Amino acid sequence: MTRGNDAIEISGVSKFYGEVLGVNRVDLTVMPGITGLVGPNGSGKSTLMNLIAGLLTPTKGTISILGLTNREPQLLYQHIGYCAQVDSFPPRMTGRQFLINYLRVHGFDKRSAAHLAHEALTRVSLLATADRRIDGYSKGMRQRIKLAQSICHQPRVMVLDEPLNGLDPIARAEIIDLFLELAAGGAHILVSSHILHEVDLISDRVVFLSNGYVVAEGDVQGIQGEIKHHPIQIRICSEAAPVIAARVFDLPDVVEARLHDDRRNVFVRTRNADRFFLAFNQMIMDHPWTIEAVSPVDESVEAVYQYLVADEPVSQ
Amino acid sequence: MAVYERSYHGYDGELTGTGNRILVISKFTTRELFRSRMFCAFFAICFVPSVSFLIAIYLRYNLEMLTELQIPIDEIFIIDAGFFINFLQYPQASLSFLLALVVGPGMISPDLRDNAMPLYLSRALTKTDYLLGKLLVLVVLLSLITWVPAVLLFFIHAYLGPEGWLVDNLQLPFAFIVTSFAWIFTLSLTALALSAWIKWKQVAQITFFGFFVMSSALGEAVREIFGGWLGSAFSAFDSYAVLISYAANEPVPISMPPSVAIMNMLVLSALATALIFQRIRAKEVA
Amino acid sequence: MEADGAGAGLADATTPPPGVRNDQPPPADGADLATDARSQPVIELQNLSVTLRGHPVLKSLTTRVTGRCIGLLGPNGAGKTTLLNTLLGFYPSTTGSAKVLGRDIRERAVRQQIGYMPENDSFIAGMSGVNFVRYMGELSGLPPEQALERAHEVFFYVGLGEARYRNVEAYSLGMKQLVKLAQAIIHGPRLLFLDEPTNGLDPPARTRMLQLIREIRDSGEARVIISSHLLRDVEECCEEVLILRHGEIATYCNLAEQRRSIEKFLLLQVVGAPATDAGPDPVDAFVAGLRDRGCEVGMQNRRRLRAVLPPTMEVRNVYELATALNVQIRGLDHKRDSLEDIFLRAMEGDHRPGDGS
Repeated sequence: MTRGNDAIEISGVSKFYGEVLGVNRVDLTVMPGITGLVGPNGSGKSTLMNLIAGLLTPTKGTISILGLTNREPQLLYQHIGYCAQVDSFPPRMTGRQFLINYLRVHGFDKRSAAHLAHEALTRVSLLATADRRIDGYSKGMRQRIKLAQSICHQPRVMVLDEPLNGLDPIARAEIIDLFLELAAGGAHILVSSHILHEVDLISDRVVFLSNGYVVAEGDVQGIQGEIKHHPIQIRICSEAAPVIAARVFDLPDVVEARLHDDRRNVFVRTRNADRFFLAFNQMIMDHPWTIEAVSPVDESVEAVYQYLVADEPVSQ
Repeated sequence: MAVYERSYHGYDGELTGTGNRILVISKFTTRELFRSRMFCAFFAICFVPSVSFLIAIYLRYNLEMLTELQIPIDEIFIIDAGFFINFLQYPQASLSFLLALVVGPGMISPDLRDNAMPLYLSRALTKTDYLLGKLLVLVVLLSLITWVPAVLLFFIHAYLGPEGWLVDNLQLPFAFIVTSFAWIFTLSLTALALSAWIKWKQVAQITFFGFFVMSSALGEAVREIFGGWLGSAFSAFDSYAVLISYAANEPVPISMPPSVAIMNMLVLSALATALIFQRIRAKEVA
Repeated sequence: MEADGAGAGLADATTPPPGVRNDQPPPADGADLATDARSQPVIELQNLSVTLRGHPVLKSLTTRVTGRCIGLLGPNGAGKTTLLNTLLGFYPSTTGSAKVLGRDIRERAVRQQIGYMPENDSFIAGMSGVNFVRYMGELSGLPPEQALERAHEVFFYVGLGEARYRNVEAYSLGMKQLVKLAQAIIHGPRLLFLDEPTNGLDPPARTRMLQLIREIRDSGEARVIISSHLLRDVEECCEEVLILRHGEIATYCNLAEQRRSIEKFLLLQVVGAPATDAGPDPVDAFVAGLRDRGCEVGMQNRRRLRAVLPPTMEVRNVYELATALNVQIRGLDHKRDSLEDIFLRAMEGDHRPGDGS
């Protein structure tokens, strides 16, 4: 039975493989909902995911997953669904058999297993090919059966490594809807991905990893607010850009207003986003400007990634 | 000061002809091959018999000492067609077999293992071009230790030896060339077929060894037990021996008709070629 | 953002290779192209059908594709990969014909002008990076000295200069992707086929790859065809898209034209003041207010809204409402039809893709 605990608590966790660092001194609390995990290859994402899924034991520190640890595997693994990046399936099995086997191993009887397998297959839209051998599946189908496996036993925690890999755009949207649905039901979903705009779209909170350390975590807009030494940057596109540039510079907290060569875009840097937007929105009302676009150049996962994780540009 | 920005430029220079591409494959394959010191040593050793036979011929005609000692060298050491056949059949057949064993099975598997075939075939190369490129390497290397030394030795002997011997034995060089090529193609194509189907070089080599040696041993056993020549019909070694002797107008060691010997080699080559083309596709048809 | 060449700094200058100008006569073995290559169709399909193992995969495709950079899209099983493989000559066509750069694909010489970057791992173990790419260059007809020169050049161009003497099997995933690109461009082909070029790349590497692709596109030296599931990538690089469905062409359209079309809606990023216990959430009130005024509003999440304004409303009115409700408009953009919408419309009439093939 669970102890009614609702979070995944990671305290002071380090994981080393011999002398090679996996993650170092991680303190994290993962709440229900969708948590995105981003970072370059080799930053410790897989290590962190394996730790949360209970597949690895920390070298130091403690992890508590809904009040359980991997010292109670039978209790723990019931609640965890894991979707790895690598493909490895038993040969000559159909999709349905694969799921049913998995469920039986988890202790479900034949009827429940069949029922749950059917439900999972429906959720990932694999029902029509469920009775074909996995050997013959396309890349997208393999991905879906992996996802089915990670959700079929209705776990409360789902650890998903690049879950949308190989899926076509429609499938991506479908699976994203599935995640949102599961999250709304109170599950903890941890998603690791390189496709930052998707992470931005679906995550309630994002964890940024770099070189084995957690460099930031939280709601993206919140994170941006905390990066003190970076005044936030905003792009304003309008025919009246030159005038806007001049006016905006008068506002308090604005440290820079740069007019782009095309004379239609202004890049503004301000130390206080809230105050700026309120003031700027008022200015729009007071002046006859037509605004074509306003985009905060910083309030996205891409922007934060670039500041904190990467030394190189990341497209936005 | 001029600053050059790195940007993308296409290529507008000259291009080599299509025949050249085949040679490129051969060139790079050979280069990789001779990187290994073990292989260089082995290849050098393959020339030892040729050199020994050369010295033997030279000595035969140039040691005054022997005439002084009144050793009837003419009766002891006869250089005739049989001499050369022995040369080709014994040391060189085995050595060429070993060379094919060492070189062949590792030629195609590296290209298939990491999915490089689409890179070849998306260029102006056909599967035939690819095969020819690989085959050329084997053909050249094997030629250098089969008919090339045999023909050279022939002409050296013709030069050093008795008058008129050349004219009497003119069929020999042609025999050597033709039969050697049959042997070379059989060996090479089989080795390449095994390389195309078996991922691991060592396993392919063992299979290659097993296939030829087994068929030879089996052939001999069948001959012993049942008599006749049927057992040898499946042995490439025996076919080779038969063909050389037949082409050289010499008595044939096994009473197998040469047409059967030719069939043996042809069928094996054709089968191997078909198997190779089956495997060197860009994409498997899903 | 300024284009900075490949990420590895501009410290080392590169002398431009001699003789590379647009007024050069076409290469000896190249296609018989007219000098204004840009207007010529890249691909022409005429009733092209391909049947594999008894299943018809491509059904009588007919189209003319022009443009510098074209996206090839479609759900799994639509025939995208098959089309690509057919154009590359890997599968024979059952009926119909296809021309690439004006030449029939059955002519071997047409592949002289083609570069291909496969989706899966593709290399020869045991060779160093530069040796491997040089080999590929020579296989494409470059004379040995030129091949070696260009191999090095191309390595630096894609940003792998440091690693070029290491064996390819030891490269990381991102590096292997770049090597695949390098071998595709070493012979300066007129047409590049890139299959999932950003597969497995982390964000900075993905940015770099897309930048390289855009540079190649803008250089005018090569046309590019990208097959990808990531619509964003295609949107960033491609001007036209060809969308396949069930082995047929669902749509072929020009993105730039789509973007200029009249149909438009707003993408808003909003932040409301924290909701007090008494009142409604400001953002919800904002949405309700917009709807009251006749807008169609959709919420992607708590921060992002899409709104289609009725003719009576203007952007200014939206700001008025926001100010009144204490909602900050942090982002505003007029979005023409994005590629995602185009794609979804192309799939219309489909049952939910439950066959997952």
